[in-house]
Amino acid sequence: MSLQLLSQDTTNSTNSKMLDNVIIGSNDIRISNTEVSVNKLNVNVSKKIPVVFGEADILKTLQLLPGVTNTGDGAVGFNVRGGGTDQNLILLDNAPIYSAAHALGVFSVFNSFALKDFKLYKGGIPVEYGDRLASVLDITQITGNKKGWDAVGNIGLIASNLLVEGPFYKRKNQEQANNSFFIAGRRTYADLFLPLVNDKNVKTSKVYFYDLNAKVDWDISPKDNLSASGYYGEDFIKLASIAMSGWGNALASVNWNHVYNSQWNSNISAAYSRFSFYLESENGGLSTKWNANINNYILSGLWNYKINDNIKIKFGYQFNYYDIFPGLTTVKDNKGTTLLEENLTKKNALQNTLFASLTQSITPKLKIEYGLRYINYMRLGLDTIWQYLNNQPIVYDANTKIYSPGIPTTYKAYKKGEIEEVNNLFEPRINAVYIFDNTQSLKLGYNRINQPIQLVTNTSTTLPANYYVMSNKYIPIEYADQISLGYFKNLGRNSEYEISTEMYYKSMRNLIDYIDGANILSNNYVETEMLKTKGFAYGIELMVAKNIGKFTGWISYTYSRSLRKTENSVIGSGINNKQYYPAPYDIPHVGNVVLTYDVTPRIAVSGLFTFRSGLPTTYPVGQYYVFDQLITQYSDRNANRLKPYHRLDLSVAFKSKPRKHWEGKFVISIYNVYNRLNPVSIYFNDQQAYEIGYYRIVPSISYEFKIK
Amino acid sequence: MKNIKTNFILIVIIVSLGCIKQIDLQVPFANQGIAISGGIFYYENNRDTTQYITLTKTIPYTQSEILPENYITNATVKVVNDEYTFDFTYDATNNAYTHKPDQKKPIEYNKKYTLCIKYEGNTYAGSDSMLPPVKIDSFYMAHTTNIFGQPSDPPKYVPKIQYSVSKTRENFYYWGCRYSKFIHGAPTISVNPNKNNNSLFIRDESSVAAEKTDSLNIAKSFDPAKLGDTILYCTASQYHISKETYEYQNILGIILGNMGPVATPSPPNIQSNIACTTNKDKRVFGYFMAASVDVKTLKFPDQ
Repeated sequence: MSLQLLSQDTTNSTNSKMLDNVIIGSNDIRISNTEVSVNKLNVNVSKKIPVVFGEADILKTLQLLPGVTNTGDGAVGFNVRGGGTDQNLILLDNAPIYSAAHALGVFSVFNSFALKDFKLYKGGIPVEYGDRLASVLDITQITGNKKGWDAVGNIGLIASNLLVEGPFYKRKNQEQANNSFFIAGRRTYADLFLPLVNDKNVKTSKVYFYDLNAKVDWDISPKDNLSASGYYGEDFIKLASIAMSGWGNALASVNWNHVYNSQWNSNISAAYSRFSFYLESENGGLSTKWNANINNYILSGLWNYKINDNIKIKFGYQFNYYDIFPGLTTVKDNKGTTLLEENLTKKNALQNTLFASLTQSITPKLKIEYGLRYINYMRLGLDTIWQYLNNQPIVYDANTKIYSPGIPTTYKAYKKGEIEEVNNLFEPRINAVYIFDNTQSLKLGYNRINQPIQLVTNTSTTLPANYYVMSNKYIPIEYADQISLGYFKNLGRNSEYEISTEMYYKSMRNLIDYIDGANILSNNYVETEMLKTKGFAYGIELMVAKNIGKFTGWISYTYSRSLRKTENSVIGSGINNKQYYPAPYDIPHVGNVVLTYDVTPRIAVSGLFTFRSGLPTTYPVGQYYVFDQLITQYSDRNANRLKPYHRLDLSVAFKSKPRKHWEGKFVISIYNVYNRLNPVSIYFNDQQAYEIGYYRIVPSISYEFKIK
Repeated sequence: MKNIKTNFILIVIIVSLGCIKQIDLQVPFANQGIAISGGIFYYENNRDTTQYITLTKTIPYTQSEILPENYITNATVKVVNDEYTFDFTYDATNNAYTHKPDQKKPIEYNKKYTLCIKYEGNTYAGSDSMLPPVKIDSFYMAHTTNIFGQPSDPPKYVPKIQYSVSKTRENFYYWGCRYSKFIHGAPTISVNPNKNNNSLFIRDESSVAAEKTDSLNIAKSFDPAKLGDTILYCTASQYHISKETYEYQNILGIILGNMGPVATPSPPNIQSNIACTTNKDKRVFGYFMAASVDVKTLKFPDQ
């Protein structure tokens, strides 16, 4: 799938921000390149779509594309082609992001003013990317305006943001400087109103987030560009004096692009990413605090060499160091004296990667890109690997048919930096395109990807409290093989219509799933709660898009399945008697209609309708009376579904008359027009079922401005 | 201003708590099966204690309690060991099948007991081994402490059991504690019977010391009663149970304590030790246990 919606504006800076007409960038490229299962979107597309609380959000836009969905309102992250939220590599100027949501999924961490465009690889993933099974989302921040200073901002109901950009230094009479910067900030301010409430609990509660984006760009020479990007964001929730929690990302990256000559160019990049989380609760004079974080250091290089018009080569390396701290639990009394301190074992790994690929035009109609990625993954100390009684980290009781944690007996301690284990992995990649003519093509893609870190979660909703574990003796590296086949067609005199159809099949191995009743939080022995599973996903994605004219938008439909099964090698009956069962994000039917219409040059209306099958869940299917108590009998895991998700959003934008130094736009939007409670979860208590949803109807108004 | 305030509070609540809606859900009712619970017990101090086994049909999730028509009353229920057959007959007062032991056919420990039920043309069977009793050496009330060993404030009493444990193997117990209050001089009339009952399944690993003190933490303050008006009784029962029984009851505890909404894992289903021997597709729930029991009672005025 290759939808290319690019703004009329072709520069990097925010000059595009007030331009809303979306046109096709280069449809010929879409038809003729070897990229399969790729979505490219300009951030201006997301600005035209109605969103909750009036805040444009690329992750919300992303979820309207075929093959992409999430587990409902409030979900942190998104799911691509039957993959988990942890199976998406999200890069912001080459730095990975581990949690892409603010306020438990209400907003993404991406300030739309600071972004230029994004590219989502759902299959046929190029050799320079890896480490996540499902997708790569590569997001590029804007480059500040090199011509002069300006500012853009947005004032919304519960959040506002502002971006300032310009050149650092510009000579008089110079039209464009060789340097620029931007800095953007965003904060919610709903918490400022809480002290006005009489209720003591509400008065002392707080909920907010803020984030900062920045980038400095410098054209050192006509052949060299150096840029430094940064992001810092933090969420905070305090519920009276009961509990408080905070989490956030910190990213930094430096990128150097160099053009050697018309044939050679390179990009060298260094990046750092940190995600941290804490939860503090108070009970009976004792306060408990849990801290966890993940740090990732990356150094990478990519070289492109064009041998001739028919053959291109790219190759490079990546150095990747993971430092995961699953948690420190501290208990203190009301005098601040530490009563208990429990430290979970830190996890470290070093990964070196080499990759190369070659793009070759075999005939004028047939082009192939093939490559290989080699990974050397080393688990490092400081670490403690436990041995379990009978070598069983998990024990199965044949009488009760219940799994329980194994009994640790001895352990092996690894010193800091000592190698625990080494894995050498190879990932072949191949993409091919057959061009029928300049309006239609058929594409095929295959990739293998390994993922050495996995998110530990036992709920369908991904929470910030979920944490990552690294592959080790008990948790093998998960991997996937995916094959994609796509047909792409442009229609209309100016190729204003795009049609695409894609099919895929993905096989996944070495996945982990928790045992029934697992306790995974603050657990040093996660392997005692996990079973090895495998899975597969398949689907067909259809899309029709119109990108030119007053009337633009797209209609898409996806049918897909994502199933899991306990590996036969696992002792006992496994999950659901080792039969296939739906993954928590198995959503067979997804349909989206996104339409925008420019009524006049200054008034635009837009609407979207989305429909999805309900999420898999586990229902109680009866009760039995034993030992004077009624016990609930549950169905097989994920044997039932929540009711379907659907909603209609509408918005209208009014632009003010442009002035010399000022442009403005009011956006009025209604999220969930018919006020449906779309459940993300269900729970049962006292023979009653309760659906949990996040938003009903949410009207909002925002004002966007630009100072020139 | 008030409207603005209200709007923002609503938004914050929506954002932080979401919406919860009670729904009428047509929960599919799985194939109706039968639930069997109870067991056979050797009482060290009272060997003619009546034995109970309850048989019911499974009920839909939406039904809030077990109704009279859910009890199975027309089954044939027996428990056998290598020597005797113990017949159980239906007792409508207790909604259970009961057996009153006699000296001719005593219930003895160190034997395997098998439950046999015939109902609607099918036969159901399940077994458990009865271990010898582990005596309660002493039973007393003690002040509680918090997890760091400091005295609880305000002070609370807990009944404590002291018992001797074998070093040679893992032992498993079920502790039941019944707290009752009787009017002084009229012991047959109970006030608030069964109040503050509590129970606990525990696992004693073989590595623990021979002399071990454990507590059954019912940790509730006693009802204020005037001295002379009432007498408090606390009865502790120590059931020496098999490992299989412990594991079943342990999982049962997890299921009962697991009802949370978003952030809790799927609760497990639990396998019965009773099966239908004539039709493998018949669903059977519950458990048949055999245990030896030692009982101690504390009698004290409430002060």
